Amino acid sequence: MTVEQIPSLLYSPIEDDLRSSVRSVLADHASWQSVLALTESVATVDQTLWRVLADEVGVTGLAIAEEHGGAGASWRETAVVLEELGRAVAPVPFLGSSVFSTALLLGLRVDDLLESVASGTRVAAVVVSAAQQVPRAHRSAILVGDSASAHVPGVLDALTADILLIPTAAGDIVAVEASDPGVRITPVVSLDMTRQLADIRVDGASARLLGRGTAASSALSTAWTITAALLASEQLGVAEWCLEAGVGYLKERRQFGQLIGSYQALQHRCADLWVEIAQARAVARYAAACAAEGSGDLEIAAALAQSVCSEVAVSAAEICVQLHGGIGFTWEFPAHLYLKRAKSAALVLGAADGHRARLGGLIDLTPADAPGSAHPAEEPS
Amino acid sequence: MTTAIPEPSVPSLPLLPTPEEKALRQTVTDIVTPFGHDYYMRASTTGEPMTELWQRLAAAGFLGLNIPEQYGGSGAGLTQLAIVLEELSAGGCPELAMVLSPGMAGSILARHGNDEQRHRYLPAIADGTEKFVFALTEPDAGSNSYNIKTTARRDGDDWLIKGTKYYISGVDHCDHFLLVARTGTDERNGRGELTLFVVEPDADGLTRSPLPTALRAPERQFTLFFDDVRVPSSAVVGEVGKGGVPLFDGLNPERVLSAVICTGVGRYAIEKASRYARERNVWGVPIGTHQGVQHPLAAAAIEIEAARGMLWRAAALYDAGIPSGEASNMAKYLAANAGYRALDAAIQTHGGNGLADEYGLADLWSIVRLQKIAPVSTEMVLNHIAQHTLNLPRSY
Repeated sequence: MTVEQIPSLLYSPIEDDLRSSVRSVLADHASWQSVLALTESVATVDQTLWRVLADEVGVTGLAIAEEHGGAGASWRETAVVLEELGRAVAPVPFLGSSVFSTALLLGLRVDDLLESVASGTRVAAVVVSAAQQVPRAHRSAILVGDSASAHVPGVLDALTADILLIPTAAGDIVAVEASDPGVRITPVVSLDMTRQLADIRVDGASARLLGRGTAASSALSTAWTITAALLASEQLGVAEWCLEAGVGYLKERRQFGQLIGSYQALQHRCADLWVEIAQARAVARYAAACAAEGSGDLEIAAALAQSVCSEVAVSAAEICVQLHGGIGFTWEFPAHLYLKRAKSAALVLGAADGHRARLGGLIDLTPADAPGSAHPAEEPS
Repeated sequence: MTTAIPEPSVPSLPLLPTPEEKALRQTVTDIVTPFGHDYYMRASTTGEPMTELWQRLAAAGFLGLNIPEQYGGSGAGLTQLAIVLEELSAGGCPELAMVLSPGMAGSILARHGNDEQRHRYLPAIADGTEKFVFALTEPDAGSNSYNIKTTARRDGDDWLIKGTKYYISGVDHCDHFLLVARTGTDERNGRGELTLFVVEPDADGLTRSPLPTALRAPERQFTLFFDDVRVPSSAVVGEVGKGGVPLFDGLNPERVLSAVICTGVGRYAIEKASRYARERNVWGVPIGTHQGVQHPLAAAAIEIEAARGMLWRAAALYDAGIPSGEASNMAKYLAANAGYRALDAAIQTHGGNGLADEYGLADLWSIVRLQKIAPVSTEMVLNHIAQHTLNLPRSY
């Protein structure tokens, strides 16, 4: 660790208040029945919930300064919102717009766009394939004059985007209005329909240049790292819900004349999972704090958080299914939504093994010529 | 549609133990039970061989099960030898000497010894009067046998041996040992050309020093120093420079016999722990009432049985003269892990008593743990399966 002072990993009273507001909104607007119903509908994003989160709770611009239309809080508070969104597997473009795009626009200092994204009136998406180890621009993404083209598969939170932020192969970052006639956003059938991916086709759309050169590439890389760091909090929320649901079930389900929670085999599994989740919380909170403080430890913290939280969330979701027995894999029970979210979250923004390989280099564990020291990222074709 | 009738030429395994196998197991149990695990523990402490048990096994003909009849054995097979060693281990006396003497030396000499060597050594192995050990590993050549540095060079009709071997078990208990030495280098790939020799432990120029290890067994480990040890040309087993063939023929029986030590000790441990869990009362009920105690033992029992399924298949393949490297490696891998987990679960079941000598468990930890390292490490087994079964690039 290169920081001298470890930031507090506990939740502040303000964060606790924020959590309860978000939780109560989600309880009213994002019951699992409604989330499940949306996954089976044509439009899988909950626009009503998004409006409530933006207008009533005001969480879409937490990390943006007040003079740019935000709430003047930080990525720490944003992470708390993500925990709650994870607990509800809420189908809103928060990660893609309020985290990834926001971080990118902050890095590029594009104030007017920031303002509309902060207020949640407009949704932005960064047009790179989500399942990469590092954020590489797609080779088809080009800017000619003021006209952009790109064919990019598997983009995160783009279904309801108003603004597309496109990194080009030449290293520029441009903005394109989703309403431009040259833009086509096609939903793809995704494992996790609570966060459906989209394929983006941009053919000669009118583009605005936001940044170029090292400033652009460094902004993209930082935004990706911040998003990975914060995704860990969403994964934490998923894992916490899974454990709570499982323990709740153990306390009510009877077999052989007794509560199944009386069996040690199930108790011990839950106790082990609790330990894993406590570790996940620590690394997720640290990653969020590093993002908030712009700490030099951010890259390490993000890779560490992703290495741990990706696996804990999947493990928690699997245990949740198992604890529920046959109920666990019925469609009319939400465990499968959490399993799919856990799995998809484990794959986007770098998989755990890639983050471990990256971590090895960052903390001087990997010799320069070892296979793990190079980023295994390949641009999907 | 016709009923499939098994071809008589297809080798097969019985689904249930035959009356002969049951009788064999019972006889071994009857022999080992009066000795018990205490006997093994005493021998481990003093470093003396388990001579009385060895003699009882010899008298029953159990040391020559894999040796042909014409050389004083019964010609039954590796399977039968493995059954005997498994029951010995299940009785608390995992006899390493059986792996080395009848298991390895018996297999190698029967297949690759010349007529004179077979007549000279095999009857003595079979009747237990002479014991072999095996000297292969060196400081710079553990799993990579072709990299050994101990050399044998011709001197007239004799050979002179120079070099160092280490982790050689039971040299102080043996009458002879099989030595693997380098007699040349293959110019194409730089690998050693190996030759096997029969060497006497009191040969001139051969000194040994004890190599203290955590292993609690009657056999001690030694470093051997060869300073121009002279052996006659009649000591060569198999062809000069082609010792890899007999060496590998000895390794498959060694894997199978190493596996039965694990499954035997595993059965011993599970049996003891189940009894303890039924009898030991804490908070008013036997501890075996708790799933936290039951499940690790049940899982261990499953894993031991799975390993046994594979190992009897490996032994039967070897006896049928069918290549058994893959099955032997798989059996050894499964058994080493299963035996280790079974013993660990049994120790945990016993709580503090698990570490008391009185309960006869923790002292077996080292011999079971050893099987994950020797005669071939778990990692080398995975390398072998990856390369030869899955046709993946050689990784080592």
